[in-house]
Amino acid sequence: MKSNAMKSIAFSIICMLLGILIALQMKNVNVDSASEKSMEELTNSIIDYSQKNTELNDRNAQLSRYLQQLESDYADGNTYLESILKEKERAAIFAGLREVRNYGITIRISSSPGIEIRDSVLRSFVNELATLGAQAMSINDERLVATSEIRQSNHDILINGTMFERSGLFEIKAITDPKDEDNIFLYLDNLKQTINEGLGADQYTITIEAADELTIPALSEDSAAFRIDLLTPVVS
Amino acid sequence: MNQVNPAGQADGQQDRHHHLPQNNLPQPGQGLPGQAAKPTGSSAGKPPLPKTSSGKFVSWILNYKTRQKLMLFFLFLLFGIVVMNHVKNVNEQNKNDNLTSQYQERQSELKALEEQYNQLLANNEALTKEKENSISAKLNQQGYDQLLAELETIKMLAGFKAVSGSGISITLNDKPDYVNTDPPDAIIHDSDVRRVVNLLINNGAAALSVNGMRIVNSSFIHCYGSTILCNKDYMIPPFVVSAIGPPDQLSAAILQDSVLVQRQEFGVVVKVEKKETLELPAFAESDNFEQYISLLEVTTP
Repeated sequence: MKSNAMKSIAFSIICMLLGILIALQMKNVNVDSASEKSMEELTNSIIDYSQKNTELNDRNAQLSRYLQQLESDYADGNTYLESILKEKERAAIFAGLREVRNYGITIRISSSPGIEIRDSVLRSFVNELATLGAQAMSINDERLVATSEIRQSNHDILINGTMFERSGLFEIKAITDPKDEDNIFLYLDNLKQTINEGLGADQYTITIEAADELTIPALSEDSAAFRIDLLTPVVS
Repeated sequence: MNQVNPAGQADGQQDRHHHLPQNNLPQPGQGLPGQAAKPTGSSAGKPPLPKTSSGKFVSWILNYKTRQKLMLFFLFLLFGIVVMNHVKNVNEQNKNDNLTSQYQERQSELKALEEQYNQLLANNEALTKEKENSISAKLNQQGYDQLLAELETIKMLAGFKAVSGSGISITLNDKPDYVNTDPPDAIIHDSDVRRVVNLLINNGAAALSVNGMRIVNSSFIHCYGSTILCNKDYMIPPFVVSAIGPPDQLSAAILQDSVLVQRQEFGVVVKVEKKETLELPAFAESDNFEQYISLLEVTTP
């Protein structure tokens, strides 16, 4: 009887231990822990912010130097005007208000008889070129800016308020970095293939060429693309 | 109180056992009344041996002591497995604890960098403002009003000035409670954001921003993994596209777009709000835009 009691006690102890261990295991399974993927995202964010902070630091230092130089030039006379005029000119180039030239890519798109070109095709190439670092672009010599419309209307495509027949030729020009030529051609060829597969290879003829120098015209301040009459500068 | 008698019965309780009369108790070798007599001798009292091997096995299983041993065996086996798993989990937990502590350190580091970024950005905005005010003041003092006006116009056209006006805000978001088994159309892609931007431009938008980032000539919107890259900023949903322009026309263009309507059937959120006054910031790199025109040579002076 004593040995039976001992056996029962041992049995009970083992069952209890088993129960405790199972409970602990279940607790471990339910505890949240940082995944490797979250760590990678966190590391990428840290790198991103570090780079941004370094860049901002440099920009702030440059601004401080500019302000000091401006005060110094102003004290000396009218030499401060030179830096202001230079900045005005650079801003005008950025805004698309100056005719520019350099190495670039020309994409010519025409359609088979009876087929009309879609505005979405033009926008696809424009978006791709922007992503690939194009610094200036035009379609049929209409300079493109941030608010340029590329809009299909019946048998025409409107660009900056100018109408072009959809059955005609569209020529997209872009000034790009010659060092990126291979990469740019790769992406543009892929896009061309995608468009041809989607629409049918016999519908469009698309050619892509590089040129050592091409010219992109300026956009006038009065262009329909600029609608600054709707904008009020914020004064703080 | 009930008393239990030596026979194990409580007083007044019905007996639950069948007791045989004493003179009817079977003698060794004798079976129970009605049963055949059992053989006597050395085999007397032992259960008869099974005739087949499966019968032998079953009989062995049914034996109490065997059952007890088997139960103990399986119990110890389970105990061993659980202990082994527990040790493995403890090791993994230690590894996770290390990872968790590293993660917490990195989180603190990121937080410090974000605070530094916000401070540097505030400094940048203050310095840019100081530069603008300084230039305006000097040109005004010296009577260069026309030059100042031209400079201000060019900055507006370039997107270098914060602007306000009436317009709309569009919020694009993934399907709520999106799961991996949902179709790709249930989340917002870069093409959706571009589509909204293009619709707004084609319907009269004069200035736009995406998640607070002003759209200018050098802007592009591109997919980057699970984020969208816009003006060097990696963005996650929701995406808020704001546009200054004719609110009714802009709003109709978005609400009536067949592609956006179809996407909403997959659960994607497209929310349009008209605004009487909307403020869009200046291009964040208006003091650092040279990199975006470095390849451009002006043909006319």
